[in-house]
Amino acid sequence: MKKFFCVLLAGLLLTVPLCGCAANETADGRTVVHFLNWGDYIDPTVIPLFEEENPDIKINITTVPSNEEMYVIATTEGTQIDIIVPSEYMIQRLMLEDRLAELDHSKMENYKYVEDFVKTCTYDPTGQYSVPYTWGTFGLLYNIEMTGEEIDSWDALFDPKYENQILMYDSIRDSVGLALIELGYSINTKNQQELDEAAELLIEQKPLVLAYGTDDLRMTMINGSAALAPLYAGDAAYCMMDNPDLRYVIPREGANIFVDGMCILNTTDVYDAALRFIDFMMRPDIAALNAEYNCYSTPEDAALELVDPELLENTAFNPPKEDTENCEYYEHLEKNILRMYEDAWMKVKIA
Amino acid sequence: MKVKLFLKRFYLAVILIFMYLPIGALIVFSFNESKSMAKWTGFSLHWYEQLLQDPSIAEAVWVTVSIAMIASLAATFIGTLAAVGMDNFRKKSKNIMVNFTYIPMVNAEIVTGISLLLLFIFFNIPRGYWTMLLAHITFDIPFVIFSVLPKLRQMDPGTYEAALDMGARPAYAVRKVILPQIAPGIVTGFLLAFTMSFDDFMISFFTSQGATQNLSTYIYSMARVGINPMINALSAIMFIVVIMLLLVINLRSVKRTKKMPRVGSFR
Repeated sequence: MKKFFCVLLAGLLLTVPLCGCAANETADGRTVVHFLNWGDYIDPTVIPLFEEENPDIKINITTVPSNEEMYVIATTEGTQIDIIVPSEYMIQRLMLEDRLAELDHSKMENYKYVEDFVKTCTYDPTGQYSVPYTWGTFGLLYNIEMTGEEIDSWDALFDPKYENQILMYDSIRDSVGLALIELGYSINTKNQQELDEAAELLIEQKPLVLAYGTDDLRMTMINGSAALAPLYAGDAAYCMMDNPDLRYVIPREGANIFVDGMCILNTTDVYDAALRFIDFMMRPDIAALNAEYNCYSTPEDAALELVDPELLENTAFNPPKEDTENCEYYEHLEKNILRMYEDAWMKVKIA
Repeated sequence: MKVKLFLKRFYLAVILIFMYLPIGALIVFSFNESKSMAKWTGFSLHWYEQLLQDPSIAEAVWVTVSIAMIASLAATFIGTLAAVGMDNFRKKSKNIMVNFTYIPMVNAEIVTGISLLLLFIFFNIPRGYWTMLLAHITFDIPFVIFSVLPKLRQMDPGTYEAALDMGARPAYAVRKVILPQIAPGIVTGFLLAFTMSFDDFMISFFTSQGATQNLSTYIYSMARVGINPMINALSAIMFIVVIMLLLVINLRSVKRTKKMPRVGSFR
């Protein structure tokens, strides 16, 4: 029996030094960059390509499904993550909390390709802390066979003509947001009165709605079981590939526009290597590869030229520039303001 | 009688359909040409091709399998020894130990996950493969203990003492007398630990924290852009492999029972 315990203890002791070994260097001396991404959000050939061109760096990629999880993992004490790709409101929060490292544009050869797009990013208009990776809008997907006409306004979602053919997105800021836009208010309003009006509008709309959902809306639209649904452009592009009757439009009243931007955390130990990777991701051929794989729009015009022309015709992937002009970014809201949005949506759900 | 037979078979068929239809649908759609999981657009091996080319899925599979293997082996070793020890305690301390072992098992996984995470943060251990492995060993141990303990209870304690009387040293007696009798319990414990570790999500999620990723956390992270049919292809392959393994094991045990002479009602 004693022998058994000796072996056991030896085994346990062996594992301890292994835990303690340096996390940002591989056994053969390569620098490890930890990249926290969304699931299935990068062309699988990109990382091997980068490692081939930069043999001194290894990219360790892990993935999460939401901004909130990205935030938690990136900011837990002792985190190993170096690069993250949060959405704009999360970037804003990270900037406010002073968690991001400044990006040295002079060391980024490919920054010039995103420069124009960065100017439109109200949350970080100088690109000091983030460079856009993908962007998209939250617009309206409709089945032209079922509506019988082209649609260019959120009004359609509130039109009794389409009773039981309307799907609604079940997400606090997206749903309340589209009602705010329909009423002509800002999607970042802090005015209780405006939020009450939005909730009222959504309650009035309730009898017309076939179902509330998120990811499942895609299937319902592809099957042709509903005529209208507010959806993210990436989801819409995916639906349109499976059902040619579907059309995507950014309504004329405006819509939410989102950006997922690459940022470096200021807790990083490998700033230069991380910067080199971000620079590589902005190279037009790489940006084009990722855009084709993800079906999310790319901020680089130079990359658009390299993308499959068929994809360019998709209005969800490549919406007309003028349509995006009156789109608005989400802003990071304080907890008490966010609470007002939650209450408004709760009122709608229980009505 | 015929009606009764029909009902029996019908009942069985319904249960089997409920259990296997979803897996069937998953496998069928792994051969679908488009990314859709609702609409059949034509047969293709596209997703299997993609699966083989995706390094991050291969990495996730490797992490999952290697962690499940190492963790269940380690837990089987530690758990079996613990069970033997606990069985030899006096009744009161044995009861206390049994209850202590129950706690991690009935505890909500999220509590285990977060407390392990806090522990690792406290000791400043960088989260990653090794912390995930330690966590898996930890939560696997009780499963082994509780599959081995009943076997020990069934065992006649006299056999071990008899071996000692005959001059066997304790370690030898454990190996030759106790181990063979509790072997089925050990195997069950190992398999249980393996499956628990293989599909664990919650604890892996908290203890790996961005540095490494197993299959369950990888698939979960796809929720934002939609599950890629590559995952269907992967699940189909795993399902077929497991079925094959089960078939081999069952065929072998069928052969063995055939070879054994019939001894009527004895045992």
